[in-house]
Amino acid sequence: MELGSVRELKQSWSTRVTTRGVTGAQVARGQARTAGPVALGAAPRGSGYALAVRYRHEGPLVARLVERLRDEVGEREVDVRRIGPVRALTTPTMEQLQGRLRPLVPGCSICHEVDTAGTLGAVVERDGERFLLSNSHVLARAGLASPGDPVLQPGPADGGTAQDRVGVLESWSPLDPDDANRVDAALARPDAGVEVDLTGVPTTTAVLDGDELVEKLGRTTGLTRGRVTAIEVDDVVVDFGGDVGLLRFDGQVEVSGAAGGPDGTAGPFSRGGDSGSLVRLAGGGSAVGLLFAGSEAGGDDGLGMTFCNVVDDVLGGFGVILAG
Amino acid sequence: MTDRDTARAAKDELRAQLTRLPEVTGIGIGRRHGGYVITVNVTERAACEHVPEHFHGVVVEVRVSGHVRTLPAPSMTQPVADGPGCDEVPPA
Repeated sequence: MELGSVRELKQSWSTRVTTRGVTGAQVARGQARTAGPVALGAAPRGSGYALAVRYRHEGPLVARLVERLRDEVGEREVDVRRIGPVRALTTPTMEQLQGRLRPLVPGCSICHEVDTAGTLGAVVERDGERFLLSNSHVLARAGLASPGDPVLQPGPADGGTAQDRVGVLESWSPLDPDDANRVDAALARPDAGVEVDLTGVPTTTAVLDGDELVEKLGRTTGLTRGRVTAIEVDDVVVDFGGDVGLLRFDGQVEVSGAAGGPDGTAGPFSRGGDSGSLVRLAGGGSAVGLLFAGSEAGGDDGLGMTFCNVVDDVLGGFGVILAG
Repeated sequence: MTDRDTARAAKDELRAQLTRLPEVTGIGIGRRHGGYVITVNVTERAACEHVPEHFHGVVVEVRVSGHVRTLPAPSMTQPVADGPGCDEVPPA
């Protein structure tokens, strides 16, 4: 259909749809539109458009409406999809990210029970099972922990205790002291009933060219924006501290802070506690990296460089995909 | 203008030459003005003189990055850098 035809259809169906199943009192209070069971719009289809029908929950009312629409408009002219509840895309504050958050939100404080705190990067999926993703040095004490160890949200450095357990350590990428590593990552299995708000998270990945604007949401610095300053970075020697010491990484992504964060100013892309953040293309784009290390100096802003594992290396190593 | 494959090949060769330098803490490629350069990170400025400005026709960008560390939150018992020492705390 032409866009104009879809607009006319939308207009004529709008009133019928939004007042279905709505009480007179709701109409009088002006709540009819928010209480409507479906949302209508225009969806690109081929070289033209179809009438987009989006609904939150399945039910007899929605089923009847969709059936009538298909009968009257034509099966091929409507594009029907369930979208679930829709919420405003607000960014949690730093205070929220470092506190106890239920449901969990990617970007919040998380950690192994005897470490400090890092960041929950994402939820990943394998064979229908979901896992929490962060760094090995956040969830698995860089390989010194044991499967089944408790994982807390917030992490101990943010006041997390045994009462804040959200899951247990599942597995982690091995860290080799004698050879080059590519990934510092670990998975935790969430406890029953632990939910994660995945509104707006990326479910796709992208391969970097080397000069992209990227962003991340982390436990310490919140939402920050950066620029990819190098890719395929080899021989990155990273100090893991304690009993682990220095480890070498190949194939890493380097990022410097860039202007364009929430307050419009440039600042460091990351600081201690941001380990485990998922890095994505700026503007809510695809995932590109898992943040794990930083330098003392350098970078476009002189505030240090941030290093990230390539997200496809992380996901491929565990055989998982990003959950949305 | 250097393409990605050319920069990557030159990087690999330069990397082999720089392995003897303990101050090198990362070597990669970066996109600049539509082409690619080799990037070399070093811990100290003194190491810059051992890194060429060009390698096989590819621009080499050297940056002093200091050391690289993982980024967990600091321990609560860890002393705060640049904070006042005990003697500097004013009486309540």
